[in-house]
Amino acid sequence: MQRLAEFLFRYRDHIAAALLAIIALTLMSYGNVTQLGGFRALIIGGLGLAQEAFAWIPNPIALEKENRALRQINLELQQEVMVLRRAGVENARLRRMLELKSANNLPLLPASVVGKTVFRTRQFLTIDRGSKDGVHPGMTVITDAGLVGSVIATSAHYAVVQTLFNRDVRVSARLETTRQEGIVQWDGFDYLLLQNIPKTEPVNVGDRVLTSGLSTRYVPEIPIGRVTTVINDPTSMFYRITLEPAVEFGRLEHVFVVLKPPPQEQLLLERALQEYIDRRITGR
Amino acid sequence: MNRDVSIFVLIALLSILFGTIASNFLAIGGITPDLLLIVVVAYGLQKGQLHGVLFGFASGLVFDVVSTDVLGSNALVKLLAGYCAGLFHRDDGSVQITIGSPRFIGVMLGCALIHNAVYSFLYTRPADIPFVAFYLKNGIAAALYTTALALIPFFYASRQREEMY
Repeated sequence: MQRLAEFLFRYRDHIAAALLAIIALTLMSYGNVTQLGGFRALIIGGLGLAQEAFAWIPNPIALEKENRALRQINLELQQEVMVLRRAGVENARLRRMLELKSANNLPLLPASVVGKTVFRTRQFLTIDRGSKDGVHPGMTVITDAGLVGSVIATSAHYAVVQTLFNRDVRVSARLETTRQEGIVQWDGFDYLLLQNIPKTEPVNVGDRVLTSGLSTRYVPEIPIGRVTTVINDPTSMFYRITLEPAVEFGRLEHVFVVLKPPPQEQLLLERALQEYIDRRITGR
Repeated sequence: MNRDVSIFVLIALLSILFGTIASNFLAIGGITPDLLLIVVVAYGLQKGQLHGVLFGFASGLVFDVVSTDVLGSNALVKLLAGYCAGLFHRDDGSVQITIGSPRFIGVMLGCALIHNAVYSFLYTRPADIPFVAFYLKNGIAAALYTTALALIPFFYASRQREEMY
């Protein structure tokens, strides 16, 4: 008995530790002690009140983290807004083009501009429609705003469009109001020139100019542009008229190809006429 | 109960209260220090193993009741910390000598690592959480953070020790 007491006394630290560990493990094995439930609720309520009292104290680290997260969200939302705005603008534009397609009797094939080429004084577009879609050289290309140009070459899936911004493009046109005919060509910069309008004709700023249909190249009654300046050149019988193009060539993304080939008989006849004139000029 | 023990008990209660209310402000990267552990280790180092075990058990049990943790879990790990701290007990005399010595920081780190290892084991087992990953993040990091905070009483006590001598 005395030995047991000595043993217990000598190793009291370890025995106490072991006993208390067993008690702790036993308590853990009970899980949630329901008798403490009410007391815990009281404690938690009190601590909650105390925490609320100190809630006004800012936590700089948490605030910094929150700021960083909010900045990231803000950036993502800004990008999303930009995308949505672009989509909204494109939606409006495509709706207008759809209206053109339904209002017009012309057979129209929608196409996307996939490339732009500027070669010296010539400007060309590449569209994603080709011979397999029924596109042929000579076909008119338009948008809902007006005339873009004409197809000059095709492959199976692509076509090259020669725009009005080419030095060797001449378009037979007429003033919408007076129906007076003239020729439209590029001025070398950002505008078009309407030539051969005699000074006897009334021309006003804002008058619309359309394709005349007298040429085999372009479908008639397609807007080309609006009159911006009318200059009375004393050395000439004609006005010097500047047009603002109906189409914004710098922002072309979608176009329509008019699937109406130029009349072949007329083309052949005009070609024969051209050859006759050339022979007369060269003397052969 | 003598004056030293009363002070330790009071500091333990305050550390439980402060740790519960202000843990959000003390957290760095989701890691919070264990203020009660500092008190338990200091007490065990000052008074010895038996006192350390009893104090650790009692304070851990109070913490379990106040917090929403499993009853007995903190009692177990705190008594273990008190037991380990008591292993390094020496009859140096005053609290300032015990806490103001570099031995306190070394013992603090060792006890915190053991304390957190056992607690992580008890925590991860039922939830099927990988123990090693949990201990590396929450165990070791928390032990280092707690030891870093223990430097405050260490520097205070060592200055008082210098003034005494």
